[in-house]
Amino acid sequence: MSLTSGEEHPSVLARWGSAAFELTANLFYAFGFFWNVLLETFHFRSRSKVGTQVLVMQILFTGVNALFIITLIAVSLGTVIIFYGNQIPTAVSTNLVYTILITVITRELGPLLTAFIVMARSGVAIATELSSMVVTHEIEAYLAIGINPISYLVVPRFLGVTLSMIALNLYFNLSGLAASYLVAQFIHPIPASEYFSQLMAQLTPNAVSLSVVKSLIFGIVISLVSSLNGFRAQQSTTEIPVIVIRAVGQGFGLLIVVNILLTLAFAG
Amino acid sequence: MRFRIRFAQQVVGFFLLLALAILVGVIILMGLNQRWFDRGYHFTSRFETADGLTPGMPIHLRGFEIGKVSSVDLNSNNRVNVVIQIYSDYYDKIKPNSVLELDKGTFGIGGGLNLLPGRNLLPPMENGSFIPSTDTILGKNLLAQGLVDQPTSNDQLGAILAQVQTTLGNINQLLGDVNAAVEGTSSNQLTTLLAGINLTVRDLNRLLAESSQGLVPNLTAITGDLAKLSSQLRDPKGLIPKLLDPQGSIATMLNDHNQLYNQVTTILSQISQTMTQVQGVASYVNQSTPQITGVLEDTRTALHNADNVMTGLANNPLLKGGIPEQKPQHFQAPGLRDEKF
Repeated sequence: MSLTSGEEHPSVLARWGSAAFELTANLFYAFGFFWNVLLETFHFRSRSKVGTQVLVMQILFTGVNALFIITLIAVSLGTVIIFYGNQIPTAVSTNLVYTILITVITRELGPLLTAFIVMARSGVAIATELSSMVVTHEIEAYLAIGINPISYLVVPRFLGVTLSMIALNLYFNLSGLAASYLVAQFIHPIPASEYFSQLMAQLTPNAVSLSVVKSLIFGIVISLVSSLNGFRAQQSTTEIPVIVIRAVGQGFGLLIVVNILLTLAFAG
Repeated sequence: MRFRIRFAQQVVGFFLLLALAILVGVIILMGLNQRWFDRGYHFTSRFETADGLTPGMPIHLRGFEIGKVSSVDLNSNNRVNVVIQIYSDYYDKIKPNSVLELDKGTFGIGGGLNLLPGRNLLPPMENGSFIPSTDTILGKNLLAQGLVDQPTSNDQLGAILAQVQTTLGNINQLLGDVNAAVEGTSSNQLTTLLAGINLTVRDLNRLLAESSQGLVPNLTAITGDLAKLSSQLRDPKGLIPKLLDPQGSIATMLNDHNQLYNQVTTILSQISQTMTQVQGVASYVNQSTPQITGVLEDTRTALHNADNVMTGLANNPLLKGGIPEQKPQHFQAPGLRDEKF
């Protein structure tokens, strides 16, 4: 509803109430969307034969194609940690450097940086693709011939992004920890058996499970936020950049919040 | 078509399987390294406080990790019961008389429990046995008796603390020796020293007794002289009465009907008058300074004019060349009173 010149502006309280109402409605809509995606995911193998190929392509694009940049970042991070860790004598003598490596790479920055990369690459692509399909009435065409767009379009992307996130996070960890070993050979040579033995001694089941759980939830968040925003397009192609920007903003924000919550949840 | 697209399924399958293999491999390596499948041998111990004790902390034997702390509990006597797990590989190191020592690490980093094994060749302790800690009397006794194999530490902080502990031990021993020496219940160096001091004091007493035999006559003579002087002072016909006698020379000199006093008074009044006159002259001169300065200035001007007249006369065209032109020069050193503020 647009305001005419004669109408009064709504009060601050009314605007806040309206915003809260809209936020609540959006949240319910998002949970409903998530529930639908989960339901369709369980029936993915039986209902969507073509979806498997979409899933493969999604993993190829999100996981395999992002492997290089993920490895590069992991190597850089591992190098920095081992370099500065070796500058601190106490960290070397007390194996604190291994604890730092595990904490930074495995527990915290590994999953988060991987998620940022995936959000920036695949999240943007999914939001753009789906919103374009809405604008060009492709979604309506799917519905017209009896294909569930969530089953055919969202579930492969949901699974593809989530699986890719988990796999990329593992590659990130492997690259970061292996790179730190290679860099350590130039600074403070140490036998591989000793290095990895110490690393494995510091690596706890809690750290591994936290890393895997983070990557799993980050994958879910990225795919859902991107898909949901993609479907919010209406009629115009000019909406697509706005939707993509909104998806990226929401995605990054949610990733950071979820990261904090998961870290706190696993801290005990 | 690109390789990745043509063999997308194979590439993706390899990508996922390799990731899964990495995860499984890491878990297996972690389990082997952390001895998840080693049930090990469990022992109990007791500490005074749980400060620095946490479940899962490592147990070291000369730097090697040989086990970990399984649990830490508070018992009914408010002591801390600790259950430790020793890995199977190191079970034979747990000899009788072994002691557990808490190592809080440097600044709280790298701590753990240190196992100090018993110094004997007996078979290892049975599973579930009690290993005393250094907090317990039993553990301290084992350490004191030298039944425990203790490594020499190369930790600087530990070395300093060890030195401090040694110093405190020495001080403690010294205090014990002092006590024993004072009580006379021991025959150590301090006792010998105290006996020497006692002997010296006795010798000093004897020396003083001997020297006093020569000193006493002199003191007696001095005392006699003082008594004689005192009696003279107290004599009614002695020095003091003579000085106080009104017929004596001092009283006679002073008793002249105030003539001496009057003369002194007159001299003082004359001096006072003279001083008043000097003050008047000084005041007059001070008041007349501007006038004197003016007179001097007038005199100087008159002399200057006279000089000009004389010069004019000397330079008269009839006589010579007239009066030469001169720059007027004013008085440059006026008194402070002429200045206007």
